[in-house]
Amino acid sequence: MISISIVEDNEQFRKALETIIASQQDMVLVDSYPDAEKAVEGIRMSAPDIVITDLSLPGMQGFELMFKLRTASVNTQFLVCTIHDDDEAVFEALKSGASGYIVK
Amino acid sequence: MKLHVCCCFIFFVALGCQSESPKQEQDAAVSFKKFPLNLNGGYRTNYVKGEPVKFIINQSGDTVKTGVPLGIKGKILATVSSVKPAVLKAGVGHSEQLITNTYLLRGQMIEKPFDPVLIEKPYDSSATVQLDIHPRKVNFKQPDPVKALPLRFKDNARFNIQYLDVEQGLGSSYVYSILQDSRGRLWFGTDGAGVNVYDGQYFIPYTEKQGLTNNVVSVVFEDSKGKIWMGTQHGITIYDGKNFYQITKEMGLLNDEILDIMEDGKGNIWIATLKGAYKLSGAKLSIYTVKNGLVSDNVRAIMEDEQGKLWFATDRGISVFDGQGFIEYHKTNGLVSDNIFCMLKARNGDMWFGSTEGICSFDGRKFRHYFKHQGLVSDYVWSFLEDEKANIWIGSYGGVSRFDGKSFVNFTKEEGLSNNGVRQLIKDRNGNIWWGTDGGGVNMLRTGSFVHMANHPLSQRKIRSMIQDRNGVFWFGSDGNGISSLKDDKLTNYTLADGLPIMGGRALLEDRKGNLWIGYDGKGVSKYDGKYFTHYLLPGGMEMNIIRSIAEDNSGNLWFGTYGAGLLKFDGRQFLQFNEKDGFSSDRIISLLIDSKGNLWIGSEGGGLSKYDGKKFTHFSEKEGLPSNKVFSLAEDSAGNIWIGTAGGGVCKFDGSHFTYLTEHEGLSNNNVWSIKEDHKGRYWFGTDNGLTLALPRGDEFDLYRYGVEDGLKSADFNLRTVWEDGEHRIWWGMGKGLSYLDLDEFNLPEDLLNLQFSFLTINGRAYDFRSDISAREKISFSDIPVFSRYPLGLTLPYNQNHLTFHFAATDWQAPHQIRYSYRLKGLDDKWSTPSPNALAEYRNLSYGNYVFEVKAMSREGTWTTPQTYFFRILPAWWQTWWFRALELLLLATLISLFSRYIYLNKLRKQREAMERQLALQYERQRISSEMHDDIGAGLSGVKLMAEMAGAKIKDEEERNEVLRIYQSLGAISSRMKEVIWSLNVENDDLPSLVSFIQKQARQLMEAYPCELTVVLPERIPDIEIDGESRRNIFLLVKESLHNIIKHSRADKVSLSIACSNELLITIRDNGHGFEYPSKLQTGNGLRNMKRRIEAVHGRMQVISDHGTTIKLGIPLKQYL
Repeated sequence: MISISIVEDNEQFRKALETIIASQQDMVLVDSYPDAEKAVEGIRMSAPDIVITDLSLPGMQGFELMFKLRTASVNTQFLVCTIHDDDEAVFEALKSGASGYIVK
Repeated sequence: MKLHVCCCFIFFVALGCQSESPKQEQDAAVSFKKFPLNLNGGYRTNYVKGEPVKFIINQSGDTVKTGVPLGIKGKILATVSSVKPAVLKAGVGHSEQLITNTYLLRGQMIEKPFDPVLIEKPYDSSATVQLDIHPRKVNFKQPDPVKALPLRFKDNARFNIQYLDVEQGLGSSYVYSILQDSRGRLWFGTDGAGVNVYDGQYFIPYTEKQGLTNNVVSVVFEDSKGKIWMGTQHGITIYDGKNFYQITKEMGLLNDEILDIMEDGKGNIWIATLKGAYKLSGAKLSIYTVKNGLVSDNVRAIMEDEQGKLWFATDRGISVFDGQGFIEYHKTNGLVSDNIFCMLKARNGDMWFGSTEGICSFDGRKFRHYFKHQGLVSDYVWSFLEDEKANIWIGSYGGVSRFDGKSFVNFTKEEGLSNNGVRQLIKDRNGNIWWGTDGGGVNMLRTGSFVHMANHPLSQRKIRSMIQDRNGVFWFGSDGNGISSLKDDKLTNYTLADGLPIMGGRALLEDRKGNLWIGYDGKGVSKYDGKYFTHYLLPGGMEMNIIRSIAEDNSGNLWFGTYGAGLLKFDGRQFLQFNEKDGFSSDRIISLLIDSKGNLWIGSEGGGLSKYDGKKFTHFSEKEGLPSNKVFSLAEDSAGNIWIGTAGGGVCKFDGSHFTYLTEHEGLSNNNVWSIKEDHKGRYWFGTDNGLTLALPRGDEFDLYRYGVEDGLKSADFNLRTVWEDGEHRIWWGMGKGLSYLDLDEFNLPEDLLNLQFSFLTINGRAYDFRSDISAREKISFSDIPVFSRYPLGLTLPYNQNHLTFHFAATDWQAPHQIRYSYRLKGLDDKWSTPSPNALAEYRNLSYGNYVFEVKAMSREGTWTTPQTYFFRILPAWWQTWWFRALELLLLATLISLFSRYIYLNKLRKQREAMERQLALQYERQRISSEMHDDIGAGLSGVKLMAEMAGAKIKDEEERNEVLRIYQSLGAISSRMKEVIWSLNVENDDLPSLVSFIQKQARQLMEAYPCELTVVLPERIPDIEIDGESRRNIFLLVKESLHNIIKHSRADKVSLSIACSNELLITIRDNGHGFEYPSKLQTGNGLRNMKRRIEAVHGRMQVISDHGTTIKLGIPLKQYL
């Protein structure tokens, strides 16, 4: 089973992602967070396999989130799911430790 | 800027109207016009009149042929036998001796041998009273000048004697002494009105008010230092040009009634008084009286001879003082009288003494006595004068005598004096004789001027004709007085009683046989052989018998010019007539002349000039070069030129080939010329309707001098041909009233002796005396005032003392009325004023600054004096000073600067506000774009995801397809929204972003279609800012184009190429089947939108449809820079 956490401030999209994950046999949704700060705490505790995160988040940017969790030695993979489709954002996300990148 | 203009306006108002500039004009140099005799074509314009030339039209209205010889045959009018002349025995006429002022020395000559028994008296120096004299300086203030009116003639004046009296501004009619000072001004010492200084323009009256010791002035004297001594009834006043100094009785003088003042060769001043003679040597006064050897204490005059001996004239004879002793001359020694009033040492060495009992001369050996009964004007003699011709002039109580050794010429009231009581005589620099009189003011006699006929009835008549016969007898024809003859002042008058047919004579001629021919007005012609009058009354009525001119040709034929019936020729037997009917130019003949070649010249009224060479007549008119067709006077000069005097055209010289014009323009007195005379010196005299003109030949041209009544003429109108020069070099003229002559031996051409000086200066209407006027010093500054001047040096005036009137005067007594002044004020205007007789220049409202006033005077001869210059300065008012102006400018500059700063700051504020608004807008756009992107975009993605999920769950195909459509719509909305967000986002507001976005969107769009896209991008994209709206339009243009390709072209290859230069050039090419353009563009919405968009970005769009379609979009980049 792949444990997944979601960090997404847009409710519609978060709900859509939760629905997709819940419908998958081999995936389990550990938790979903509307903001980054709560997400850092929760993910450190739960340490899911994959974190799907947005880049634009209230309080903290997705890049920072990834950076904080990696420095806290949380062994998890990051999948960036964002509306930003420019090369710069993709490159920056990958540099920050993202393993994948999905444009909304 | 407005403020600046306003300030300038205020300045101009403050400065006001600065000046009145005098009319400027200069006399052009006179040139004498010379016109060739024109026989081909002729002249068209008359130079003198400035109008078309007049042709000669005869009574029948035909144009008379001119310029060509015409064979005019005269017709016989009458024969002597048919005329039946009346022969009358001539009467002897009425004779009388004219009153004359010339008296040959008559009676027995009284000569008295000098009786050598002389009274000699040693000089007793111990009896000489010595005094220390320190003349007292008095407060002196210059009086106001009194305007002097011009000199005038007495109506009966026979000579050029003019007078100045109280009516012209002189202070008193009693003038005892006259002086012409070294500056040319005349000083008149009067009885009761002090001294009047005269410069031709003003009298300056110095009286007791100014510090004169007394107003009865008996002597005015200028010493070698230029000081003026004024001896009066009580004391002496000395004027050094600055101040008055008085010597009065209180200083120790025995008597203060001064009779004479003179300076000896050693510089001592000698003063003649009623009680002794005083010698003033510096401050030492020595008194000489009978006590130390003088013959009498009553000293009238003092004189020094070449040996340095002093001669004292007294009431008891003469004392001569050589420093050692006195020698006396008395009646007993041969002197004419012991009561001597005046003395003269003539240039020939003779002494002259004037007394109350006649005069005498003394040559060292004998005395010669002259009395009234010998011709002297009076025995009561006051003064002497010697002229340059060694004539002795004697001023007496009966007038003035001029004595040349043989005869006396006397000048009295008969000759034009204003009074016969003549005191001191002086001669001015122009050679005029001046004297003061007892009750008639001052007289000036201009010698060598016009002399008029004595007071006789004939002097009131119009003299019509004049000749002098071979015996030297003058014959005159006058209106109403018949014919007169004149010789040696004996005038004989012939009237009807003596055989004349009429009391007049219009033409006179003496024929070669000595007969006198007289032409009458309407009574034909007479011959007078000394005994009988033979009268010829011609048939044909009145006109035939108006004879205006007579001439005798070399064959002895007589020619008569009639006024109305043409020309008559008389050979002694018959009269031949030439008139207009026969081809003659005019029937009104005015003048006839036989020239030295024997030609007859005929001048007529309206018919021009005609020449008869014995065979043919040639007429000359304005067309051939005559100045006028009315020819009045004719004369031939010594060189053989014919002179033609005209009516209206002046006079002209005709040398056979050229006419030289002398008209008013060149300086002729008037253009109606009635008489012409060349004198024995080759000078020409022209009598006109407005005076006389003398023309001095100078090469081909002439110097012209005008003479009018101011110059001594009795009247200014001259009569036809009445001019004659007699054997004594006198030119006689018949005038409107009587006869006048000019003695050419006495006559001198005027010399250039103009002495121009500044007289006084008025400031704001006040004639300041800058020396004494304290109030003047308060406002006006200057450095010094030259002696005898009223013009201070270095004059500096305040701004409001700027109305100046300069008074100046040129002293010249030759022709003061012809002096012209011209002036200019440098600093205001550099042009000389129009020459004018006014001796003043007025300037009002002068602005501050430095000025140089210059004036010059022109004499009758037309030569200008060197200009006199005067420097002065007007200071600025405080508001005109440099510091005030600087302050004003500073203020102006500050105001401008503040104003500019205000404008600048305001602009800056507006810019900042605009920028803030822009930033706020951008921020708002950014916020909207960001929110749309983050929230709505993410939300849409979420909904889209859910729709996709929901679709996957639905089994029913129809329902699933519906959900799928929702999903696709959401995709399309999302895509559109991205575009909107992109265009809203200010971060994309540049060209690189636009190009990048276009190519990315193009690729995405074309991905879904089976079409190969090639994109060509520029190597370098300039970083130009482009606003969101424009970006959106450009992007949508590309998108629309691509959509069109996808929809309509069926192409499988598309190329998108973007280039940047001056414009952004986007070329989209496909290989489809193309479409019709522009019809599609006009109908299809897509293309219409494209057109709208390209217009919005001010670009151009080109669609080429040929084997595919090429769309070229060019958007100028300049608009975004």
